[in-house]
Amino acid sequence: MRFQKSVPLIHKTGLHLRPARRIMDAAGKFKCDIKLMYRGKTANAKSITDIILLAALPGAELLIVTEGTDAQEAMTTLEDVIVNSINRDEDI
Amino acid sequence: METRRGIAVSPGVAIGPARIVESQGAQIARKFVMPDEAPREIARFDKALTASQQEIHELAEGLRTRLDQQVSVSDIFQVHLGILEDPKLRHQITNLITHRLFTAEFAVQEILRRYITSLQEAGDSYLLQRVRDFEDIGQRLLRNLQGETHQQLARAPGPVVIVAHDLTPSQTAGFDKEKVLGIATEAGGRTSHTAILARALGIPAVVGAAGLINSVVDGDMLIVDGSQGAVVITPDEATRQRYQARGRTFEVIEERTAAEFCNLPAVTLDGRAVIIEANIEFPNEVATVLNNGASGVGLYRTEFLYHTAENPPDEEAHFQAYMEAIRALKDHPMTIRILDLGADKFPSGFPERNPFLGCRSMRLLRLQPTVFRNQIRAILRASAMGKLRFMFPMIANLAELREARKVVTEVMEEFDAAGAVYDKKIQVGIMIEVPSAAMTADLLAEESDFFSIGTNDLVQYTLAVDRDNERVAHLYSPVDPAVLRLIQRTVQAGQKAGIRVSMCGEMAGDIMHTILLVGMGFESLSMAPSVIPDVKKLIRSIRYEGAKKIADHALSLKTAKEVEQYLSDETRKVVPELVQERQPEG
Repeated sequence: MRFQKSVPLIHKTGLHLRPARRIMDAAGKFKCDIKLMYRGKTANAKSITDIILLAALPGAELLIVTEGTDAQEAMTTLEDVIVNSINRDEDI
Repeated sequence: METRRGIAVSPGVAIGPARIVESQGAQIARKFVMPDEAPREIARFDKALTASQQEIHELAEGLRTRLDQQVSVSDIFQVHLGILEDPKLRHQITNLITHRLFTAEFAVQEILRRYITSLQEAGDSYLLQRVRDFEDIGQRLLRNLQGETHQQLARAPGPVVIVAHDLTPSQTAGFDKEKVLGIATEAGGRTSHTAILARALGIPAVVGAAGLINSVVDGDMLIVDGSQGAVVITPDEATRQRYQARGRTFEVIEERTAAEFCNLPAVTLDGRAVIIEANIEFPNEVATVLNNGASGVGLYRTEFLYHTAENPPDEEAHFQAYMEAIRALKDHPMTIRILDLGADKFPSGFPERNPFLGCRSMRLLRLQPTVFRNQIRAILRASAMGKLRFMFPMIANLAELREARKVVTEVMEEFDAAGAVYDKKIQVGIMIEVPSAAMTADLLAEESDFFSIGTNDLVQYTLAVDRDNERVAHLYSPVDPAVLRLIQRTVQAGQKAGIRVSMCGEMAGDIMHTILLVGMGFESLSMAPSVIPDVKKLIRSIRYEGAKKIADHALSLKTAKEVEQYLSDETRKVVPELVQERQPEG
């Protein structure tokens, strides 16, 4: 199974340290491959270094791609983390 | 005695002997191992990796217990830990050892260098400050590889003021508040982790103080004023006493009013509203200043784009910075100051016998038309997306203003020809900071959309005093009758022409001057974010009619000392809790 979905990032500093850590923690719970794509770059969502190096700035459209056995559930979780947790976070 | 200015990032006053801390991070030579030695290198690396992870665990735990609820600070190290635990990091490093036969040290340096390069290429000022985190991780790994014991800087013999080019988050977090009184660095910004950690630890800190290391010798007496952004080297006795008095009362003062007043409008008891805006250096400060109660940015000092870039910022770098700010501004206005380089800020490179009277600001940009045009283009592009104004610094006469505006008109024509979108009604103003500009404010007002008075330069040029020169600093006063008359003249010229007159100098953020400035008719004041709550509290406690009388009386006094005493007395009557024990400056 493969899912992909585009999600806007509106966190005020972009995908930096703490949001990156949150994505990694969420992605780590799944078996499937989870990738984030932004401006031609691809990050493994289970690698915090990768996520930070995506350098996704506020206003970015992130493409989430999940592929594997629990891909659907992973997509729901990742989207929820970005839209409902990271985008609403007031901290840096 | 010598004073260096920087960015105030952690409030408070620290007085003590300097201890210079060398920057970490010597280059590792590129060395190779034999193929059969690679597994041993990998084992060494793994051992260093485990030790580093362990150290960060301890550091994060230590911080958590020292700071109670400051969990967010130890989060910084949770992220370091996340990176060290990232399988990708280990994979890339061991790969270099196996396939390229690098030593573990060189492989670590190489991979971290690659990470840092990609961060730098992103060109975002927030990300650039994260470079320090990756350097910190790299240095930790290297130290463990080289078998050095985990040494914390806090093991200094006694209470000291730390002076460094830059500090890593680990170095800062290792500081013990009992032993480290204050921190002063040459690099760094308001959102660097050094700044965040210093604030959390309650250690007064100033960052971005250029040329600091060369002015300080180990053991020199230093004052770090983390509220105003000054570092005083070998202060004289009077200065020292003045700061000691401030150090005692400051904490109570600053904490108390903050929460209460930051979200209330600055309106006098009889209904006169004053716009309170904030001065910033970096676009990522916008969110913080709005939280502090600013209704916009009154001064965005774009010189700091030079701080983070190796080359002069191009149009795109300017544009990205403005867009970052606009996104955070959420429709609040922002006034961008055109690059104010030269003199004390990023010297021009020309030999200058008298830099303050030399080729600085607009005079320097005249010789660098591309730099100037790039910035104008970036501002116009960004003006389509948010409420922007911009202003020229150091305009001394109408001819200079016309010359600068001509360039703007040309760029606008290029935009029109290309069909590019921008705010055609964007306001173009000037800083009033040269006495000749204040004297001819009536002429300048006819061709300017707004004025913003920069008091630091206006005072030094009017009184011919360098306030960083200890032998003449006592002559420096923003309320000297000569300065007040120039300010009054500027305000009146602006009112007559129907343009907004604002003040963005240090004077605007000093509560001793708030009543005077409101009374003189300022419609807006722009200041350091930290003083906004106090200024709002004061404005909300006075009447505009009364302030006008006080301003009139102040303008009739004959010496700076008389004005200072009078304003101090009047301010104390309104908000005694903010004035207690505080000595008038100068």
